[in-house]
Amino acid sequence: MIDFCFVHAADLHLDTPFEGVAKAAPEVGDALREASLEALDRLVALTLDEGAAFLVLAGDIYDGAERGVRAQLRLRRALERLGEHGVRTFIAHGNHDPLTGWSAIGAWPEGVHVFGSRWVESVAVEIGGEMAATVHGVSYARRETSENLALRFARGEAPGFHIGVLHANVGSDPEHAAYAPCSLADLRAARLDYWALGHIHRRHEVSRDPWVMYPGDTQGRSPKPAESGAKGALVVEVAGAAVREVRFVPTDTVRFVHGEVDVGGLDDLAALRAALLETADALRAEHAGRGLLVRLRLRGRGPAHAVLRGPRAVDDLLDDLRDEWRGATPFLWLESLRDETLSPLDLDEVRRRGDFSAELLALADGLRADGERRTALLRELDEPLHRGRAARWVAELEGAESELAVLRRAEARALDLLEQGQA
Amino acid sequence: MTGAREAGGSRGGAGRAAGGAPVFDTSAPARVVRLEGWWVDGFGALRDFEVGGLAPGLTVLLGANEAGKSTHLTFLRYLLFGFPKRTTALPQYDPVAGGRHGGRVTLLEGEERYELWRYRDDKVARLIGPGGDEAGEHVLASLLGHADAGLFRSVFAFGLSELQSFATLTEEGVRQHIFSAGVVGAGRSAREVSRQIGKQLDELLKGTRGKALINDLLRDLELRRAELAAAVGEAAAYGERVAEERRALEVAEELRRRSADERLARARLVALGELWRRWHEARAAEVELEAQPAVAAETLTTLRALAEGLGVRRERLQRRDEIRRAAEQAGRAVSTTLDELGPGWAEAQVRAVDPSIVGRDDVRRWQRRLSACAEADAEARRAETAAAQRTAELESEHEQRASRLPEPPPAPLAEVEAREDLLVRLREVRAAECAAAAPGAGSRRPLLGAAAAAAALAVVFTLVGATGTGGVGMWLAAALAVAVAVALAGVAWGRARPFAGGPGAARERSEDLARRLGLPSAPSATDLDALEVRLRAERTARIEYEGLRRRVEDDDVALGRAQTALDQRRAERAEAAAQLAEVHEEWRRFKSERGFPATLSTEGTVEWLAALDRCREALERRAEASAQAAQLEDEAREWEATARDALAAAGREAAHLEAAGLEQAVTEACAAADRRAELERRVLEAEQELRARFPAADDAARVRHDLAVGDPEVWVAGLHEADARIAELEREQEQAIREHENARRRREELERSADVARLQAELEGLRAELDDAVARYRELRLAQALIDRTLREFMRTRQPAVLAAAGAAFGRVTAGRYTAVLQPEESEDDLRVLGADGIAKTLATLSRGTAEQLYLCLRLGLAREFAAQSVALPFVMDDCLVDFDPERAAAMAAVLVEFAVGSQVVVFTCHPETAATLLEASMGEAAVVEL
Repeated sequence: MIDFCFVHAADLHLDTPFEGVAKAAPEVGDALREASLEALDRLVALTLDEGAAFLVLAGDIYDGAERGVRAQLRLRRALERLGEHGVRTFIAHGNHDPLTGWSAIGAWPEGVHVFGSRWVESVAVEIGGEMAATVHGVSYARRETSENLALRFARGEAPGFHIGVLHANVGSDPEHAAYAPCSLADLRAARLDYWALGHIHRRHEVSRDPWVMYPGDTQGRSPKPAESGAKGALVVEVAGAAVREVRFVPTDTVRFVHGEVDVGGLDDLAALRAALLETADALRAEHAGRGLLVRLRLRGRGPAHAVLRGPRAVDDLLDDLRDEWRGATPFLWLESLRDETLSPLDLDEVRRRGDFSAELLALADGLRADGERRTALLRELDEPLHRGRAARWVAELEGAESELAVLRRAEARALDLLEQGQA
Repeated sequence: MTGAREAGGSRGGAGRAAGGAPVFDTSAPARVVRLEGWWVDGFGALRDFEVGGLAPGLTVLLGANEAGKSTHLTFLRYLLFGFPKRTTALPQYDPVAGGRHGGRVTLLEGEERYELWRYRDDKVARLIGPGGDEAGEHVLASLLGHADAGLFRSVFAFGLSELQSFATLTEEGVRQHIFSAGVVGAGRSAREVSRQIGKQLDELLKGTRGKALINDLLRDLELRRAELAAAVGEAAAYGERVAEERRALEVAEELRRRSADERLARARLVALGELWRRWHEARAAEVELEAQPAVAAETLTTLRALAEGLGVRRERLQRRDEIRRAAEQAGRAVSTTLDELGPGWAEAQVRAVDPSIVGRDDVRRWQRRLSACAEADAEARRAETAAAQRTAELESEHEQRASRLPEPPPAPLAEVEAREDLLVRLREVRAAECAAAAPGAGSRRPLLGAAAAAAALAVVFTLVGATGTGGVGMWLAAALAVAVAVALAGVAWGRARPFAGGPGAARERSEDLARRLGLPSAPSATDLDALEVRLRAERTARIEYEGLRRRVEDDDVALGRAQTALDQRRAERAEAAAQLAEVHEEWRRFKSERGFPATLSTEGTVEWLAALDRCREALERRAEASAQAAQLEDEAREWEATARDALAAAGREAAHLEAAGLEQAVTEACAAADRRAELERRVLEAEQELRARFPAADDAARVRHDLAVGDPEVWVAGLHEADARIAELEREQEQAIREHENARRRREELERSADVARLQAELEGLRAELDDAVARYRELRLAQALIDRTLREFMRTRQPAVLAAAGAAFGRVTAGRYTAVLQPEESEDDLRVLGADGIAKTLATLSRGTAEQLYLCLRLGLAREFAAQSVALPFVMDDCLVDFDPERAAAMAAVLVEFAVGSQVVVFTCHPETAATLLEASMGEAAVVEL
């Protein structure tokens, strides 16, 4: 059997915005808007550089039905470029870009195969006149696809390497929407050699027998852990109709990274600032060559807590740090600075004082212990957020904190204010 | 310095009030802070005022009106909690009696003593601790139990006005004020914190349409979402845009085709209209051509060449005539110059002269040579003449001088001098005789001097005259000088020296001398003088004679030299004349050798040669003009011959024609040929244009037919109709093109547009901001709720103790008329007082005095509660008992005495009876200090 390699990518989410990123500097905003499209260009370059026989895209190429024309035309041009070099492309649509979505692309370029949704299509790939592989795949007809599509796949009698292309949630990962849910056993039953999956944005090797791979998305999209770090595609080397090697190659141009600074031992703002700069510089060195969106967390107890609780203290520090890297190439944008520091107060001591603050802590402790009462209180307090136009928007917020987290921060805030001047 | 002095029996600490169970908890508070005293540096009317001797328990500060009680109270408030800002309505108490604005308050906590210094113009107060070290603000805050100025004024340090001011508040307000002021955390007022959070919450969210961060974000989100929906809608319409563009292009293409057809039809009409006239002219030309004979091309070429050469021919003929005139003029010039050359000179002789051997320069050289010789001859003659004239002049002068020499010559000068000498001696002798005869002759020495001088002058003049430079005058002068010298010497001698031989000898001598002088023997003085004059004249004549004689001798020498010069000039003149003659002879030979007329001078020869040149040039001009005229004549004859031949070949009779007739005939023949060519060209061009406009053979045939039978007016009408149709089609086409362009632009904009991505990014950005804002809102909402709920719980649980204490005190003060202060369960914001009859009354039903007693009791309760929670602060009041009747005043005094066990109580009053009441209530233990 002929040896070859192919590239497996998924979840390109072309021309879609970064989520959870507030206003950024104009040049950073431009870079973010272009990031997914530049990742596509890098993916094409990777495919050509590796001499891949074909490229497999396992769904969610666009972000939604409202996908822009720009993204589609960019994709078309990219695939045209591959076709010009004799590289074929296999596309299976996913929940974000089902087949029923409108398309600005009238006809796909030469060498592109888009799998239909009615049944699993199997396309033979010959290299140099020799049967090398069969690519099986199926697209989502519509977004809400809860059918176990993996069950439709079967190896067939064709010789060579068999690849399944599917957008699915293997093992019903609760962190992700349960589209086309299936189990590893379902995949094994199809007796394919390699499952090119999409949907889970965190790169993930599900199995090596057979190979079941999530390459993750080609460009991180939010500060969420699954979207952080290096993003790219998998280069699959096939020898003797078996996987010889699977390599990850980054394609992202902008990277989301997280950093953490413990304020313990930092006596003043200058020391805190220096520690933050050091942390960010370390991240910059670690992810050299890419624009960085950095989220920094301040943790621990220390004198800096009181400073940070000052009006606009965190915002001013954030602005100052952003100025530090302004104009850097590639850019480093401090996305946010989260103050999760704790007051140096000894809460048990406060509780023993028996004063107002002690009463307040007792009340908070009670709410911590009584979930029902806590939920009722928070619902009551949130009531203004559920009136008028706020209701819909607030309901859409994905990153809502847990009640306990809100309680913890509220308790700290109240104590800080009551105890101000005591430190 | 005005100091406060202690009055009454201050024994420190308050005594226990008599009668009844204790109103307040008798256990000592954990911390007690009291005033030891204060010193006013400058504050209002107070200046350098010290107050001391305050008891740990009850102290009465007694002062008359205007003693400054209220000022002291305010001083304490400001010193402890800071001066109010200038911008507030509170009085500032600027010093009016001098001193620095501020002062000192001394506080005691147990045995520890603190001095608090505060001045208006200092930024911060200074707190000196027990060890003398400066303590920080937080120590002061701790000393004051973290109370603030408002709380202190409301509960701990108040005057009658503050007490009464509660009556003006609503009941809810009273309660709220008291309780909120009394409820604190370990640091700031919980209600203040709650208010602060509320403010922050208002900045985050205000109603559903207010101006706050979340409201703004929501508005922006709505806007962006709407824009995004529109952008997505636009993007979704991409296919429609593509189809729209295609349709617009098809319409534009169809209109373009129709327009092109119309333009073709119109162009045909235009072409027919334009061809029509030319086509018919071509037909007429064909008819005319048929009537004209054809001329051979060669003949036509000859005729055209002849016609084209007409201008040249006429110019040549004109030129020929001009040349002929020039030849005639040259002939006349030849005749004239031959005459100038002289008789016998003919054209042949002139031509024979070799121009190369006759040069004007040679003649001019001859001219210069002859002139030089003539000049030399003339110069020699002039020199000879001048020499002769000089010689004659010298001869004449010589003769004149020689003729002036006297004959015989005057006596020689020696002879004259001898006679003069004789005369002198005669005079001397005569003088000696006289002297002998007449003694007393004078001094002769001066006369001798003068005679010597005259003699010297005579020598000088003589020498001058001898050199010939002084002329006759000098000679005369010399002679005169000699005479004078002699005379003087004679006189001197005569005077001076008597004759040696005596008078006889003298006389002899005198006679001898007279004789020798030709004088009588006894000459008189007159004779002597006359002789002297004569001798003087002879001397002069001889001197002149000598001078003239020497001049004559000089003239002889000069004359000899002049004669020699004259001879030399004569020789030179002869030589110049011979030279001149020789040159003239050579010149003559020169002319003769060259055939020049012998009579010609050099100037005449130059002019003659010029005439010879002119003659030769005229001969050449004439010959050249004659040759040219002959050549032009030949050419004219050749043209005429050719013209006759060509005209004959063209069928025109020309044999009998003269030159002018020939020219006209040639011109006419060419015009006829041109006309024929023009007609042929018209026919050809008409055909070419037709074929160019209508290349297709069939179409050309139809056009010929249309041109033959068509009507141009009909075509023009059709043209106008076509124009109208084309204009309409163009408008439609432009519209279609615009629509196509718009469709294309919309499609391309869609293809380029990042609007969806941008709006999504903005939407996500706003969502992230909203997320943050909501998280902050939730945190603050819950923080506020925690504080508010704790506050309520705090009040709910702590209030009973406050109300119980206040109720007990109030019951004591009212002698049991009221037994308790209650908080109705149905209202957290209301208070009631329970009468002895068991009926609860609202505060509004109480009299002013009773209400003030209640408010004071409530303050005592709160102060005691504050002491239980934090610090027992000094309780200071200013004449708050004035509205109480004596019984109740005494009862209140007793309550205050009891309260003073746990907290310091300071009462300002101007009423001695109040002081007495308090003193009595304390059984004399209260300290009374007079201000």
